[in-house]
Amino acid sequence: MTCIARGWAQGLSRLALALAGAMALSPAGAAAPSGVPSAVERWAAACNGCHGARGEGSGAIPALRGQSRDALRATLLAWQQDEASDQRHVMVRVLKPLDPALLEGLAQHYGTPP
Amino acid sequence: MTLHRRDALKVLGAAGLATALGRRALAASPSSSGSVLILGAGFAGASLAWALKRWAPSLAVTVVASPARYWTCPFSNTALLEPDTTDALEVRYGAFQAPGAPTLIRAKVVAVEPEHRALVLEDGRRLSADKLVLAPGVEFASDAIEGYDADAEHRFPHAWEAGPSTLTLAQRLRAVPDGGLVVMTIPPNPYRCPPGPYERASLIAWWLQRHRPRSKLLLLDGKDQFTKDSLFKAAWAARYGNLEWQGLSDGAGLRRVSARENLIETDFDRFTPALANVIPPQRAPALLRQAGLDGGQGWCPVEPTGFESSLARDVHILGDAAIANPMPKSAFAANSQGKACAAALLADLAGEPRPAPVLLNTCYSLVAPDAGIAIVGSYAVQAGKLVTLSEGSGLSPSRGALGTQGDAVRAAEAAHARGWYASIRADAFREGPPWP
Ligand SMILES: Cc1cc2nc3c(=O)[nH]c(=O)nc-3n(C[C@H](O)[C@H](O)[C@H](O)COP(=O)(O)OP(=O)(O)OC[C@H]3O[C@@H](n4cnc5c(N)ncnc54)[C@H](O)[C@@H]3O)c2cc1C
Repeated sequence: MTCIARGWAQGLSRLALALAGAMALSPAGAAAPSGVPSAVERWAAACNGCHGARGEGSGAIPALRGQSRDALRATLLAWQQDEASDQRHVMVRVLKPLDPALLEGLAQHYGTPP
Repeated sequence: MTLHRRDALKVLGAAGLATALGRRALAASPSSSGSVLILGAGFAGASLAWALKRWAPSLAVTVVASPARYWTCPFSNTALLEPDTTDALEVRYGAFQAPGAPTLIRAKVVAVEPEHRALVLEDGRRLSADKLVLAPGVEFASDAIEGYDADAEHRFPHAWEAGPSTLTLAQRLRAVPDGGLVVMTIPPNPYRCPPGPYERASLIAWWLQRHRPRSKLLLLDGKDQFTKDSLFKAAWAARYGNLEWQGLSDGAGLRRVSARENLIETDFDRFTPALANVIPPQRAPALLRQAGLDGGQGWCPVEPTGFESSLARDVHILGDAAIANPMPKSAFAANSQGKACAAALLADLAGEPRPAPVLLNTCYSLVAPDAGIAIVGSYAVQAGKLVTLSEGSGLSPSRGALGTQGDAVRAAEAAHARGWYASIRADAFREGPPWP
């Protein structure tokens, strides 16, 4: 499909949909879908892929939630500075590109306050 | 151009009235409502649905997934060794019943209409929304191998979709007589789970070593290099005298199969094995290709920030079906892409710029039931392209580098692989204890 044709079709379909929407079965005036996630929230969501949906951990993968902020911060910082030569290489690498503000944000997000 | 209301209604009439899942706010502010329609409840689609609900609980999120049962491919290779564990691979979607969950519709989708952001279901229903996301996984390109018909698929089970076919392959393995030849054919790139065939080969070799000591496993590969090859080959050399790998330059490219003759024919040779596991080449499902979303390439091009199709606005494509190089086609990548897409969709609906995506991948592979290796990738968008961040990427250390720690480190990574599997299921499908 050419861009022009696509633009045209899209304009058309938007209007069609707007009209259809007026007759639709959908919840009228659904509430605002707020919540564009912050950088820390997006990173925390990435952590959840291995550490579980709530950072609860599983088996050999440790829980993030429930650690103290200080302990978590210390671990994250130590691993970030590590040279990745053993079984921790996955975390050492994943943490390398993170800036200090993000690391602190993650410690705050998951760690329990003192 | 000006479009009259009458014309628009005519278009609607011709296309059939879409069941709009939410209202596209044309005049009102962009964040006043929103709806997302997702095809697929695999690792990509389910992860996206739950990420949207986490960040925007009131958003209307609808997922359409095939009524067929779904078993995870991750850990289906270990199920070849312990077929009783196949049951545990099934995802039952219980969390989707809870209040506040995304709406899950179990139905087969028969057509995609990108220009309407609509899905047509087998029963004739047509659904549409503000944003359409397609995550249907892969299709097997049976026409890419000469002689690969339904009989061949039955004779040489691929088990590249987990479930009954995993069990079939496990049973066939047990039927191999001692001394019988086992062959695996491995497709050229790209395909679902780049290290998957080599993990499977390792585990089959492990099993044969114990139960069919005079048998041999021959890998016929359609390429010369593969992911983690140095680590796999070192593990094979140390552990499996019964495994032989041949690459494309060795003449291992697959030419033809014949179910009737029980034949596997390569560029250089012919084999009549006791068991062959033929993994066919793959591509994006016909549903997407027929809608023109692959641009004739077999896989669907996307921009890497929100995984919006390069060919259709407000249509996003995630997971195995998308071209997301250098990310592999993995469950880990699909989960990561689902969250990046969620952030982009919410930004779009709020009229804000799409945030930088957080994209990661780690593929763990077992070289034996108690020995794992991993490859890590961190990715960023630079000048509109997805690139690998070298400082955030790499492989498990070699045995040489580990010295006497070698076995302990490989065992730890196998344990991490198992932990990862439980975690990603909890994250992608919200399995586990109910949420508060
Ligand atoms: C043997 C093996 C081992 C693997 N191991 C790993 C591993 O250890 N780690 C890892 O990260 N990855 C692994 N993978 C890769 C992983 O399984 C895939 O990358 C992942 O499943 C891709 O997710 P997806 O959501 O794109 O597709 P899928 O998981 O295939 O989900 C597709 C969804 O779309 C639905 N669907 C498709 N067509 C239709 C239709 N017409 N109508 C309705 N619904 C439809 C399906 O029902 C399903 O819900 C492995 C793969 C294999 C084969």
